[in-house]
Amino acid sequence: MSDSPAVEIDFFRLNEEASSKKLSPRRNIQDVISKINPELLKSAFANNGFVANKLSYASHPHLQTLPVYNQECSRVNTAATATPLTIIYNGVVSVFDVSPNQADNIMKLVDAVNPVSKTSGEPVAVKNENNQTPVIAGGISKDLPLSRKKSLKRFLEKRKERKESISPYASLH
Amino acid sequence: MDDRSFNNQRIHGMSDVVFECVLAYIHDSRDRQSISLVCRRLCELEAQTRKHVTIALCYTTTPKQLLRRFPFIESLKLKGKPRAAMYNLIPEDWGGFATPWVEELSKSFSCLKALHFRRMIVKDEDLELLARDRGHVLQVLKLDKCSGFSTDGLLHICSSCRNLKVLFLEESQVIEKDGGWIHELAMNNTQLEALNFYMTDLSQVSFNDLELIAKRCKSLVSVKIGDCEILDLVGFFRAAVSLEEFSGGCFNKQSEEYASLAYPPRLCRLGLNYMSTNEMPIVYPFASRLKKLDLLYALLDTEDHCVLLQRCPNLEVLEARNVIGDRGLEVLARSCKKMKRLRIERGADEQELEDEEGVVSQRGLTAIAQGCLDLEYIAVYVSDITNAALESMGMNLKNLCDFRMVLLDKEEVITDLPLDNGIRSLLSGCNKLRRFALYLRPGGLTDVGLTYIGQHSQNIRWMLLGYLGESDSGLLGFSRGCPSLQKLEVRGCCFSEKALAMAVLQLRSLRYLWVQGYRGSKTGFDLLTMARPFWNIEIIPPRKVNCGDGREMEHPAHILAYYSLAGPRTDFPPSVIPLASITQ
Repeated sequence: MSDSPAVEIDFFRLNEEASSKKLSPRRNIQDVISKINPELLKSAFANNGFVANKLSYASHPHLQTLPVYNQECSRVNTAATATPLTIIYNGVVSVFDVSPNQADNIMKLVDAVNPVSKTSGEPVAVKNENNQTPVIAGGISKDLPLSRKKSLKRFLEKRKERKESISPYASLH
Repeated sequence: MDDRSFNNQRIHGMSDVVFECVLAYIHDSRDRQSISLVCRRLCELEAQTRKHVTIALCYTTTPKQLLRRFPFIESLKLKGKPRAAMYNLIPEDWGGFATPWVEELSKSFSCLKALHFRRMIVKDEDLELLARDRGHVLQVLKLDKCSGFSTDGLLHICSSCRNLKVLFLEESQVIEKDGGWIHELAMNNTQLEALNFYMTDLSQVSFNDLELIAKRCKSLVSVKIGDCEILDLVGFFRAAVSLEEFSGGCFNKQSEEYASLAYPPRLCRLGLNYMSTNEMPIVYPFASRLKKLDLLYALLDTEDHCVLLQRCPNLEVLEARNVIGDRGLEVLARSCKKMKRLRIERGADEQELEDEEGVVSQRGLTAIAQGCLDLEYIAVYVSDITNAALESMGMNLKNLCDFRMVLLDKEEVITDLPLDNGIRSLLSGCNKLRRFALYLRPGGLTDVGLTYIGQHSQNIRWMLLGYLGESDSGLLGFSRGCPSLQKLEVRGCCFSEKALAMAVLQLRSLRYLWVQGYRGSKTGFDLLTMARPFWNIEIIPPRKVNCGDGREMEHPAHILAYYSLAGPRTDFPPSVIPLASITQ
């Protein structure tokens, strides 16, 4: 198993460049996949379970049919007590598997720099005042009228135009 | 695992040559997929002999990944925007850019002869690159419901691709600068078999160029054009001796002038736009030969449809608006026993613009069910429906692979709702169904009915659910079934984020989900229940859309989620936001 790579989490956009990218080094998944024997991984799943799965109440007997995933990367950093930590910042929602200790430290860090408040700077706010990240909540049925196919809409518009432009006396020429 | 396959050129004692020969006969992509999982050598052989690949969503993989897996493909189909884009629901700048693909295809795919982009954004520079680097070998170019390019880009293609057999632009939004591109096509090409710029607004096309193409391209079989006056095409029709399919044109002159028009002898697939009652008789001489008829853009009333369809006993494919009416469908059921595909689209809502008989209901559907037993595809907008009509379809239409029904919202009261039992009968009777769309209204299908859909859809790969079910438990019941469901679209349903996310986890074959209209949670966290590796989740937030005549409409949020080997997108426009899920 490889050593855990160093991870830099830039919450506060101190590094402007990194803020537009993901918060952790991007794994080149496709390179990893192409080196793995599917059969080996399937047996690994069967023996060790799928650690990257963060859910407690859904079971996944069908995971073997998912694309191959490099389990090594996920197991390196997660202790047995890893649970999900969800962070929403600047319109991007990210989920990390961290131990309770790590989560505590992260929270303390946030508190230290930015005391919990209801301003738009708060990292976990979802309802944002700025235009970049509007509310995610979906709409209810009544707001959704039947929409028409583009091609037909265009035809019906053209037909209306034709009707309005053709005068009833054209045939008398 | 047989490790000998690594070094030797033999698999289980048989040489590669044997497998190469066998593989040449295997075309179905699912079969090839199974073969490629047997062992590494077969995976390599299969990859080397794969001729065509369809990538259902361009963001699920990258050009480099495609190159590594299938370097010798001759034909590629790529799809971009969600299907809802055809209904004006997706922001124009959503994505689906052809550029990165064209760059790699031009550089590295030496065998590529056929390219099909569907609902993608293609630029003139892309077409120029394609023409320059692949012009000498390109035989098929389909820009299907694409946008972002102009006739300048087409000019490059038509000048350089002298071996082009198929040029398809149907429903693309092309910026028209001039008609030079078709002139180039006429001057340079003798191989053309199919030309299609149907439902584009390209109007500066000279009929002289069309006539020249017909004269020079002896194999010209299919031509679908924009609005060109039919009388100007006399020369074209005379020259196009091999023509079997024609659509487009329009009728602007006096009806009598059209009477003497002669059509090519093999013409059997026809779509005449703006054809009205008076011009209809021009079709009579060869109506009995017709296999396909497109009346979507014709100006006929219900009676016209009845009169015309009676003369078409060999009809296999019909597209019409619901002005055809129940009466028209009854005539169809009596006269056209070979029908395979039937599409009835929604006409104008205003009563004055369409025939008052122009409604389709259980009466027409029952007639079709009993009369057109070979039907494989039906898509219909109905104003009324009953369970019995659906049961009749389930009992009789054993070859049905594709069923799509939308219940229009004009009528307040529907004869027979909910449709639970009818839908169950339909699904259990039509066991070859692969695609299924049902769009009703609140009360149209209960949670029990939605669960029935899950239980009786063994082979269905694509589904659209519109206003179905009553609560989350309906969705969860549904998602316990549908073993083959790969692509799911949900609109106007009352499901919560959490239920949607849980359903996604239960649908074992699901690789693509689109939702518009759902009960959002305050935080948006509930969606994360479905977060997992390789699963991209994107949101198109609610937005105000200009729908013409100064009105603005509020479009609710969309969720788009799909498996991808390429990681999250890197080209989001402002109108789309990702829910990135990362594990370390």
